[in-house]
Amino acid sequence: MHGNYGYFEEDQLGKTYDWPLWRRLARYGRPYLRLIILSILFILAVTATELILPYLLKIGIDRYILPSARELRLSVERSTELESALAQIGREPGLIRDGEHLFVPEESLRRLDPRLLQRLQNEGVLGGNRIYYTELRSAAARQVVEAHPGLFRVVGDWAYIDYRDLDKLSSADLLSLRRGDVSGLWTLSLVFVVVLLVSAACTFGLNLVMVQAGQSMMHDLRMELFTHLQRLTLSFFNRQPVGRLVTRLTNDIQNLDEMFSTVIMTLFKDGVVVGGILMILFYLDWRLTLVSLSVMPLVFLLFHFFGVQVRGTFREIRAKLAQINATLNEYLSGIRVIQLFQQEEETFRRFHHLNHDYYQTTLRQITIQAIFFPCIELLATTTTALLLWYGGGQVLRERLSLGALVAFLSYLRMFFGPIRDLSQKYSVMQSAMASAERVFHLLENRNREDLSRETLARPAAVRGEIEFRHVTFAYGDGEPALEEISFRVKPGETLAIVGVTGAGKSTLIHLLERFYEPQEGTILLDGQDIRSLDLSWLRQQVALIMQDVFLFAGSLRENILLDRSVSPEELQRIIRYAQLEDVVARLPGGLDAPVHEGGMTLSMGQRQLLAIARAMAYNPRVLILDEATANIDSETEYRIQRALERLFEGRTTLVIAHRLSTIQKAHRILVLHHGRIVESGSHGELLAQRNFYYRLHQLQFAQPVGLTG
Amino acid sequence: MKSYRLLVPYFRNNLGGLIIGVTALLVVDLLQLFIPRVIKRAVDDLTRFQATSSRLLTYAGVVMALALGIAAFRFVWRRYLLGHSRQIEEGLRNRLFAHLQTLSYSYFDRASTGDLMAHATNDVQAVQLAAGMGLVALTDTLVLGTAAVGFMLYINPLLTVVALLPMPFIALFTRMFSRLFHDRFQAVQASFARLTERARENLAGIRAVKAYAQETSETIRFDRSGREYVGENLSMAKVGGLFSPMSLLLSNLSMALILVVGGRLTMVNTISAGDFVAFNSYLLLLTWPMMALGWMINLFQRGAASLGRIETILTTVPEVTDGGETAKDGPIRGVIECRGLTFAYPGVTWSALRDIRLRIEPGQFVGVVGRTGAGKSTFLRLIPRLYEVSDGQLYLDGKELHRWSLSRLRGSIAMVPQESFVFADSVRANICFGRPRAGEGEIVKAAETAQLLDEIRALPRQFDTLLGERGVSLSGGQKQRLTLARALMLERPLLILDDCLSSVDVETEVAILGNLRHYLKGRTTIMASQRLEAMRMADIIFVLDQGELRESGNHEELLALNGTYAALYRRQQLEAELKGRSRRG
Repeated sequence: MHGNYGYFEEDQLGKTYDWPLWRRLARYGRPYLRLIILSILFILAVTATELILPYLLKIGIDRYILPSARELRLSVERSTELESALAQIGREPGLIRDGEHLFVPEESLRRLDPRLLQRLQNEGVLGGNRIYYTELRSAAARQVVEAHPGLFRVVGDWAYIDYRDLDKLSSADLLSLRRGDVSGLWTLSLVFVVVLLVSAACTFGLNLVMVQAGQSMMHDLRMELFTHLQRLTLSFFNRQPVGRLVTRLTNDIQNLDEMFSTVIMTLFKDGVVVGGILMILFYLDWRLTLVSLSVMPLVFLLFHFFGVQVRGTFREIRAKLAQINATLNEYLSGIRVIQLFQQEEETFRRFHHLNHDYYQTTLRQITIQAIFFPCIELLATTTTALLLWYGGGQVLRERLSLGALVAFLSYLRMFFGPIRDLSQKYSVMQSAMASAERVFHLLENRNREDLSRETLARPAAVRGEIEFRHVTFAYGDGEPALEEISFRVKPGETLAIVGVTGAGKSTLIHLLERFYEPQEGTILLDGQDIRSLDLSWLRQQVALIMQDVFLFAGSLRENILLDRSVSPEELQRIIRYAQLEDVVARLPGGLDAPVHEGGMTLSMGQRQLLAIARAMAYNPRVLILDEATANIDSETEYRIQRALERLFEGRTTLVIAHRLSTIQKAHRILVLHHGRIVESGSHGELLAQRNFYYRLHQLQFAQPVGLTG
Repeated sequence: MKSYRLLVPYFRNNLGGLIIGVTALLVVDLLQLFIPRVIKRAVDDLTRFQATSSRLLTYAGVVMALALGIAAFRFVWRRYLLGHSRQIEEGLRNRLFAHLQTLSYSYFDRASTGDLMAHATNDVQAVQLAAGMGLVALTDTLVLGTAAVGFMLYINPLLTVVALLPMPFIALFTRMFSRLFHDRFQAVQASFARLTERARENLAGIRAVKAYAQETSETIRFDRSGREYVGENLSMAKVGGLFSPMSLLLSNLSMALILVVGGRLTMVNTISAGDFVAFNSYLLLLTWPMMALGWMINLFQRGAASLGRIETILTTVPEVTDGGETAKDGPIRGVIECRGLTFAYPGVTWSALRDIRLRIEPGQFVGVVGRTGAGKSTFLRLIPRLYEVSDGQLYLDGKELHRWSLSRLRGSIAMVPQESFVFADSVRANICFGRPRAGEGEIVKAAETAQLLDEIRALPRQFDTLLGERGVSLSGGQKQRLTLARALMLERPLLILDDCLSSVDVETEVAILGNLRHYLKGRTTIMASQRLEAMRMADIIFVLDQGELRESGNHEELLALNGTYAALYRRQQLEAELKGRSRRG
């Protein structure tokens, strides 16, 4: 019996392959092309440094820790193979010739064709022992060599020794002998540290540039959306919950930023890393690379199979969590009904059911991930095993150095990192794409007010004559809220509009502000159709004071002046005329006191006074006032009356009147009922007619106790 | 830190699974440590020319076997430990919801739904994360960290000391960094909140913005907030962006040191080349726990803070608690007596009701009249004990209200509150909310009595039509009639109607009251209304004004009194007349 509680649209997922959406997003990157290029450069630099580090390790092992040479016996009958080998090796550094023995560094040997090498080994030309060789630069090294004549062989400045014989030397001798290697290691580790520093600096730079670019792009998008929203018509806002629009401006754009800064950039970086590793691996040994990557098809298969499942449960989890949220929201909002109807057990049962359902789904996700992640890990380790077996064999066959094997091991570890994180990034992208879609959808809304400033008139002087000619208006497709409204207000005149709730009073003033467009008829200001006037200019000429005075977050001063600037004397005058002096004096901080919506700093009456001050600062020719109906104490009431008198002076005023005093002072009264003008005239005239206004007057002002108050 | 006690039952009930999970995690860590050992052996063999193809194959086989074991045990710990954390999540959320349901009206007057929802989702999830991944990270760090260090010590103590030299700096750096980062992060969050508020303010006040042609200056203000947010993000990035390169730098510094020192040791044959390679592997193994340390601390801190917030709710005692009623009490007859009832809402100094003295007899139809703020709703809310009154003021059947058991008291009352709440569910589910297993006939009858049947029949799926955001939205009057039908389903001896037909037009209201006439027989009905027309049928009418009882009597008596009620009535007559005159067609 319990239905679908609906879930938040925020939890829908978008398609990651929506290319038009991507193209549209890419446009926001154009102004920051330099930053983007810079970040790409940083990424390349960081990747390069990350790849260089294991390589430096390899060099350390191959060149300094285990530098080895092999013996080529030239005494054996010279074959064509040997000749071509010698030709290839040429004059490699470290090549030592000792009579019939040629000692070739392993590095040089590995450049030879493996088959040639195999043949040389078979023919007994190539010796099997690994030989340490060093250039004798220091006296200490020479002494060590001379002290062990049986172990070393010396050719010119070079000495060589079988690695197994090195064990026979004391530590001190070894150090003296290998001083060159040690200093080489020092240099190498210095280079290592320098590369590290460069890497750290570039990573930091990358992080900064990425945030800068991403945030700037998103700021642009946010401002575009905000500006767009400012131009939409009120009918649009009537249909849209504020919360949803706020989400578009904040969370949705935040999602996009997250995608940009964490996903796209890391994806790019990962791509470069993976590509770079592959290049190095292929360079080191293409056969071994192919062998170790032989698990990749399995990895792709795993991704394909589990990726669908992981995404499926991920989506389900989000939907279920959203459902829990929606239900919770519902039950907490309706808690009073639940308690009154004693349905706590029933609602708990349902909540428990949803919660358990969610739990089951998370368990399923855990299970899937508990298979998926270890499997990926297993495949990663499989490559290690393959390396040991096949790569080790290659080392045995002298086709690969030990250092290269070690480098392979660490490169492959780096290779699998990005692959593991891929599924996580995918989900971030999905929700970001859904956000992008919603933001762009809103941007495409064409419900705009007319704001083209160039073509529309902004007359220099306004007299303030208002005329309605046969105006008919309906909200949407409903019944007309106003029908055939015609009247004229001369400059400086005050017109009171009266009528019961729903008579169309507010609609009438909304039309004059051009919040809505009438379906029929025209509204004129100084004889000019208001549709031909610049909208923002019009609203500056025609100030509206509403019943519920909206407070912008800011100081009292800011709330009075809005975007105007007046001299301090002028401001003092406005405050005096608007009867706000006491309020200002009482507020801590005076004019700079912060006021905001929802804050209790200003009472209803004080807000009315503030609105009057606002209108004075605005100094419009035409004033529209919707008098407050809320109970205001008589003292404030009196102040408001005083302030209004000042405000009305010399201005054309349309007032939706609730107070007798206002009506009595009006030059003319317009009685609206069900969207039509039923009577008009002065207070005295209308009372004398003893018709509709007379009753209304009795209803609103003649009775001491009111219910509609 | 008492709040950890909240989690004890979950840990206790799940002890078996937890032990299995942690053991599996330990095994995984242990096996992981063996892989570098195997690699070391292989590299050593290769160096010494002792390696053969078959031997290499054995090493590869051992690595594969280890990997398989790791995968299997990984599955086990993920399933048990993460499953456990999800159980905690489910349990805590259930407890939270169950407890919230026991809290009183006054609590929900103060707490915002948004906050409560944040507790039930974000806070519960933070606890889940700490109890799940947090626990795993902790175990991992401890085990991997110690074991890696152990192996390293085994290879060479001197080298280990050298390798660990940068570690204290990493720990120190992480600590300092997390504090700084936390501050910056808070600043970003605060800035985001301001940006959100700016947007909300603008959109909520869009009429004022347009009326004063403030679009441009609003855009400038929003732009400023947006830039401030971008700035805060950049300032956070300056810290956050430093973290990963710095910790990478510090941990890789060990690598550089090992290259020199370890290389030297290898040259003098203190350690073998294989040892050197293995040492490097262990060092890599150690990097992760070190990096994870900061993240882990953060996870636990957040979890603890969230747990604290959850505990605050769970320890909130409901103001309205069950009375000490005994079974021997007879059925509720429904005599309600106020003996000088004075009531002020919690936290408000001003009394909503002052010294009310009245008596309601069983079976009476009682009207409560007064203007907005007179105290009508307050009076009605006190009867089902939605708010607690002081002793000796409010009696039901001669016994003080709080001496009745809450379930029995509320179980005898059907109340329709002023604000009609409709669940986003089907029409049917909404109507039989109080009696989920009611028969079709009863539902139809309740809808008929509330004058709603025809409209329901016109809906796309009649009684099964979904209401609310993703379904059909009802008008104010329809909502009120729906909530009335919901209350009528209850068949309780006491019916309280709190101005619940204000949005229904007069003709329909009269029709509903006509329908109710039969239903109300033998029931006590208390009805507050703005419309006095409905009061004609009341046995007695109480007129409230500013929290005080001004007049009482039936319609005729009160008219004859020519006081407040009579004035109100005349006014409404006039209003009705006005409306009638001008009705078109």
